[in-house]
Amino acid sequence: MSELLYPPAERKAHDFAELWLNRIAEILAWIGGITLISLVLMSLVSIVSRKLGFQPVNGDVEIMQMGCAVAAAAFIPLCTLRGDHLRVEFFTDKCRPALKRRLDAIGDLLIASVFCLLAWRTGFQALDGRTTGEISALIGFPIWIAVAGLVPSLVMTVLCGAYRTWVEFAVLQENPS
Amino acid sequence: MSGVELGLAAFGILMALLVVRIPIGIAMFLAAAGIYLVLNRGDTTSLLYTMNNLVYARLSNYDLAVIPLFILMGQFATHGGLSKSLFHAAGSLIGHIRGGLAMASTAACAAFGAICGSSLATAATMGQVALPELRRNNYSGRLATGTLAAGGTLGILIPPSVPLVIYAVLTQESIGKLFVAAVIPGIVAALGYMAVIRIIVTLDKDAGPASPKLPWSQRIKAQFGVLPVLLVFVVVIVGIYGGWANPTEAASIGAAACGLIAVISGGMRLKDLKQSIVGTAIATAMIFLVLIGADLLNSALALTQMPTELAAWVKNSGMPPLLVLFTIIGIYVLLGCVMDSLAMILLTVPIFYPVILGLDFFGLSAGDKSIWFGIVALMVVEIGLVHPPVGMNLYVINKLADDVPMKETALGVLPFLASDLLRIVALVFFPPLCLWLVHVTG
Repeated sequence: MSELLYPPAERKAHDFAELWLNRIAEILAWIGGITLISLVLMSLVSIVSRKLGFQPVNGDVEIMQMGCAVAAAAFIPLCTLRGDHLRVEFFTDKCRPALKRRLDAIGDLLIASVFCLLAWRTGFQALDGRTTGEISALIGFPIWIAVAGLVPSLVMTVLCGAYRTWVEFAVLQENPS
Repeated sequence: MSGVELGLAAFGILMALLVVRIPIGIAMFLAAAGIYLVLNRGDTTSLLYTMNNLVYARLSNYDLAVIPLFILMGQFATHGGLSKSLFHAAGSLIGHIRGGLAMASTAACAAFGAICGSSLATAATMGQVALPELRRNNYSGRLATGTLAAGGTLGILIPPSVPLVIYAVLTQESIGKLFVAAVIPGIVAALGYMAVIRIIVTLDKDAGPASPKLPWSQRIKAQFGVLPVLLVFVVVIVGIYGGWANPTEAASIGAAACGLIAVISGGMRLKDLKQSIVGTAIATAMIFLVLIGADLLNSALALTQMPTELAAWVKNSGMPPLLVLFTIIGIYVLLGCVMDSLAMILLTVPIFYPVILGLDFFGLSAGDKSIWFGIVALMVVEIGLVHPPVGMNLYVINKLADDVPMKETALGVLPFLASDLLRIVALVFFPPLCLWLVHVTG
């Protein structure tokens, strides 16, 4: 499903930015993946000890909630950079590539704008949570830290969306038809 | 502007945005933001306030955590070579009858679907294993690709199933009950596909020739390959339904077990682990972006009161309930022509669910109706994966079989589509098909 944004020959000009964005997005995806696998192991330890009559991991549910939120957010930049988000392609399938690219440029710009808003509001929520000092019920972990953990991924999504928009417009300028 | 008008206008804008390729989650977000702004006469305070916790609240939902876990489990199963042993186990049993290997592919798809919640993954994984074997045994391209494209849908029909998890979260229904309710319709689906194969090979004797019979010792030996899959399925489903693990824990156990099996039997290496993680990342991100947009849209629609007013209007209009249901099914089939199954569930369930709950179907209780409609909706959105023009399974399978033209694949899947439609009608008129097992085990 993932297609090259533009043919490899046109790639050179933007390589440096893409190289780094891709590297960071992949690192984030790895962080998310390793977090997810750690949560799986934590869950396993918790349920096995519960069945054997020992204490389950204290606060396993809230650890899963906070960890999963951070992991899921960390997955979004890579998907955005690769242009893999779900869209309806049926109606524009037969259109000229240049028109499709123009529409996708707008779509990516909208992704960047929406995530800009979401990053701002989520960051605000984290700061707010720090002042009110809300903590999770069982292990007393400050929730604002988990909320703040989403912000880097959201900001990175803004960059990935903006980068794609820029490349799409750049390609259109070189190659308008 | 009344609430209903505003809701409808937002839907119109949403559809227009979708037509011009705006990502589905973003389009939902924008339509929802529009509703907030109109309702508050341009004041952004309540929209911004709602957005504060939008991302964290959705991403930290404990029930939704099963989605990345089930995806990870499916990725491990895909890279762990389980598909091969499943196909050989079924093939060694029934490969010697006419059309037997195609039936074996269906059975293997069903078994793989029992540890994988995604249709495309099931089609791609089983296709890689079964297509070459079918072609080598001179199965016609039409039968081979049609079987696997249809068989792939068993990935979401047989629990665990990602669309059912989303339905459960939207309607606050029990994931365990929905999974149990999906078991018998899923098995019926697999049997229906086998019956279709049987009919095809009876009509066209060359479509699926029999392969040589294996000695019993080999056939029994091949069955051992199924054991790990069976074990994982039983642990996950019985674990959830038996109440000794909640869905998230059961999904963790399933993911760990599939990972372990992949390392031991399939020889999963670092490269495969990397692929599994990237695959999980992309699939999860795709789903969660739509979930975030749908969350805001659902809150906005609730503010317009359009879903409740629509439900009341349908109830008071005196339309026969079955007519309403079949209209909804018709809308799903149409939407399935252009849209992904998850997006369809997220977009429509908040609107159709109250309508269905407000009507009387065969005197079912509200709880039964809610489970029954979930399974009906699952079955209907699933056929969007195989019917032209954008049946994704068709593309996945056709890409794997380079010598079969797309037209043959599309024609090949038609008989299976007929069995899908028959099954949906049966499920609509005979709810015990899904509810019986829930009642017996509950």
